Amino acid sequence: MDNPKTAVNTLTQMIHALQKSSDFKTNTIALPYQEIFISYFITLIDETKLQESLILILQRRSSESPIRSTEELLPLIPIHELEITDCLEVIHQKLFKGYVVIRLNEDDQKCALVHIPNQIGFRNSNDTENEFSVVGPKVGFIEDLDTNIHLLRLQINVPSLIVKEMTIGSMSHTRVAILYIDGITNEEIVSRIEKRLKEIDFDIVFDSSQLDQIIADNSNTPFPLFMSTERRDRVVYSLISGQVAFISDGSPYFITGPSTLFDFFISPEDYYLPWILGSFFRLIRIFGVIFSLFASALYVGVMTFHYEVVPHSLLGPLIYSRINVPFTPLLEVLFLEITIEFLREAGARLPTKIGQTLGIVGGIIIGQAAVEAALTSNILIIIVSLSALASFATPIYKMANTIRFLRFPIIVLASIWGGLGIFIGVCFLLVHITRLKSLGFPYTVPIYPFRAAGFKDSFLRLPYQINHSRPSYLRPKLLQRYKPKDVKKHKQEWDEN
Amino acid sequence: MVKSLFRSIIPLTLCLVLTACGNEKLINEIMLVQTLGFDSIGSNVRGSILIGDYRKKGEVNAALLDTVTTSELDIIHALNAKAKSPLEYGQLGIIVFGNEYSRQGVDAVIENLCRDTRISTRMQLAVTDKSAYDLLHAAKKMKDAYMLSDMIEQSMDNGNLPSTNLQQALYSFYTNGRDLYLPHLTLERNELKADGVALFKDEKYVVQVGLEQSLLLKMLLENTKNGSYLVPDSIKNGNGGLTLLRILKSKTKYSLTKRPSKPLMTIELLINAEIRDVPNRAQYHASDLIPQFEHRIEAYIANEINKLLALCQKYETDPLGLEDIVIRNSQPPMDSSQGDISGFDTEVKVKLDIISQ
Repeated sequence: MDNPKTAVNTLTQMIHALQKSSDFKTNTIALPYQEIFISYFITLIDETKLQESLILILQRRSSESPIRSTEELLPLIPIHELEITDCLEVIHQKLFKGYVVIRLNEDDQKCALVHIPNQIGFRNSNDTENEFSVVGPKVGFIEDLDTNIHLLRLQINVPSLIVKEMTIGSMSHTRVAILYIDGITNEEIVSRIEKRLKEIDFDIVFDSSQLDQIIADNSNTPFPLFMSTERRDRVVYSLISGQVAFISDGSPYFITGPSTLFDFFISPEDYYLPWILGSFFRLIRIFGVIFSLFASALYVGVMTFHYEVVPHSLLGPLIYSRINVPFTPLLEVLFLEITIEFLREAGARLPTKIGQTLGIVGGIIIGQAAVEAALTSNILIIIVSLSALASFATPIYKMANTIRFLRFPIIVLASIWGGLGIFIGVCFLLVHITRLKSLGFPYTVPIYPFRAAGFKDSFLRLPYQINHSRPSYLRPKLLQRYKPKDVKKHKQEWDEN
Repeated sequence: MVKSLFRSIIPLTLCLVLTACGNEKLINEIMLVQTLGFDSIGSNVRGSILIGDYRKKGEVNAALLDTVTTSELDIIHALNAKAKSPLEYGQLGIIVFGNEYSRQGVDAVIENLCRDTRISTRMQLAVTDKSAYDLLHAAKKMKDAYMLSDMIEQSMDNGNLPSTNLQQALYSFYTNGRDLYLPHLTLERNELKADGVALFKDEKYVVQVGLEQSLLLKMLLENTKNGSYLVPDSIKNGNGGLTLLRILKSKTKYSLTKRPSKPLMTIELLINAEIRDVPNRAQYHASDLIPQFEHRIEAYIANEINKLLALCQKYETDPLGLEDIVIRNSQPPMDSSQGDISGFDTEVKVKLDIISQ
């Protein structure tokens, strides 16, 4: 294993080695008839709980005889997570997870392990901050795996919600849990994800999104192949649809898959609003993405090559706004786009209040000054800021980043070949996304491969009585989610017979 | 992976080198020709252009350039020599042919235009009885390089001119059994005016019809929604007065009946109209007078259409494409050279429906 190179063969040696760290404690505790030895990392355990549920209970024991074997400890300690082992590897791992080692004699190899972790360092608020929605629950996940699974179990109250745990990371030994619903999710997805996770050899897992990248079908793509979300309702919805979710301990983000391109334009709000509104907002989001991908590129293309497509009434404002700009449209657009990227990066790294100020400084002052200094045209400022705005209409931040990135190659192509360049860019994009796969399932379903039923919940969110089955491309074991309500034309009570 | 990356980058780079970044035409570094005129001066051709100038905020100016060369093909190059920045024709709104030039034939320009992909097929073509240069000069005074094309399009949408553009003109020009017709412009006390339609025989301008006849032509060519027609008749006075009819909707149906001698072409025209500007309102509401009035007007319009057809026949021009209909309906398909306007009889039926307010 990963013990230090010096040979550690006994528990005593290991404890001796660990004592180099000042937060590792080994105490001798006096009990009525004997002494016992407990060792733990003081930083990893809850001291009050240690006093109350271990030391005090052992000391107040009313028995007349000393404890002779480690097994006798088991019924005495009122803590659920408790085991007896002499395996060094297990002891080593558990010590780092907030276990206390109890030995009856100082040179015993066998010991009892009691789990007394402390919960310091976890945030108390689990509001969804990054995936906010106005309507609907605001329950999100936190950095603790058990809490997260607890949150999910609160909503899915069936025994068929299976949690499979494994450990990843040669240094971090991070717990990773795979969740799925037995009897709904296709087992192939589960076994695929399990296999890929097991194959991972990595040192430290900070966040589930690292795992997401390592197990992705194609790592050379800007597109996110798995959904990552901090919202409980989103994860529950994926599980119910027959997808698999996994999360690593210490990450507030669940990764769900297999995902399709359209999943990234779905906001949970769509399901809480009437279907007409939900569908409308979804279309707006998709339009926003297309707009933000191509708006600046179209400006460059039209200004550089295709002056003939400008409507007569727009000629005046367009030409006038550019008349004093000494740069080519490409440089002009890049200048503004990069300014916006700077603002975004700086705004994301700064504390919220300074970030807001920065937004005003950047947005108003730089924008206004750039126009007055004739560095850019004011029409372009409108286009670039609108498309920056539109790129954040996507509910998933990862997708918004992808969109922001993809604009740049298309802008460059537009400056080289104009409309033809944009077309070439679109072709590359289409070829790329149709080749993408998420856990072996096509990324562009329901468009390619075409699945008519898939359109019920992709561009539009149709009413619940139509939209009652799971997506068929996931090959779920049970296609129907619920029985739709019979839609009959009922006579109203005020109708005449 | 590196290999596949190279495999995709190399062709891209080569494309880049090969195309040399295309031919850049920055919108603020070119001069946009918005109106073009052709005149004949003896055996030479004079070309004049109006260029939109947008350098001042909220203000549009037009610059006029002209040159004389031996052929239409030279004009663009000759004019370029007079310009500060390159002249570009992609935003062309209208081409005006002078009287003399159009009588000699507009085929040289039309045949070239249909090959230029930058030129909009919704561009207008027009004929004037003055010189094209004078018209452009008048438009320049209005400080609007699109003045002529906007005026014509406005008349087509709301007035009596039949709608046409380069696309339709090319269709009429190249179709057998159909002749070109273009809007006719003139100057009235130094003001621009669209005063009718110029009819062509093949590539040559032959005759002009006025606005009243333009409306008849418009109703026969398309489903008209606008346009007003003055009839020398009124509900009260019979043939004595004048009434202005506003066409709300019109529809034309052409049908060809075979007969042993000549085939019969029936033109059925259905008009919905309202009466505007009735001198005496009270009389207008006497409902039994309206049917009589309708019958009189129907006969009048039918007669006017027959006169128009006779005029076309006289000049051997066919803007309606009647011949085209005969050619298309004949079994076996007639050779285009056989069909001519005298090869069939025409019968005009008009149904007028006056909508009461």
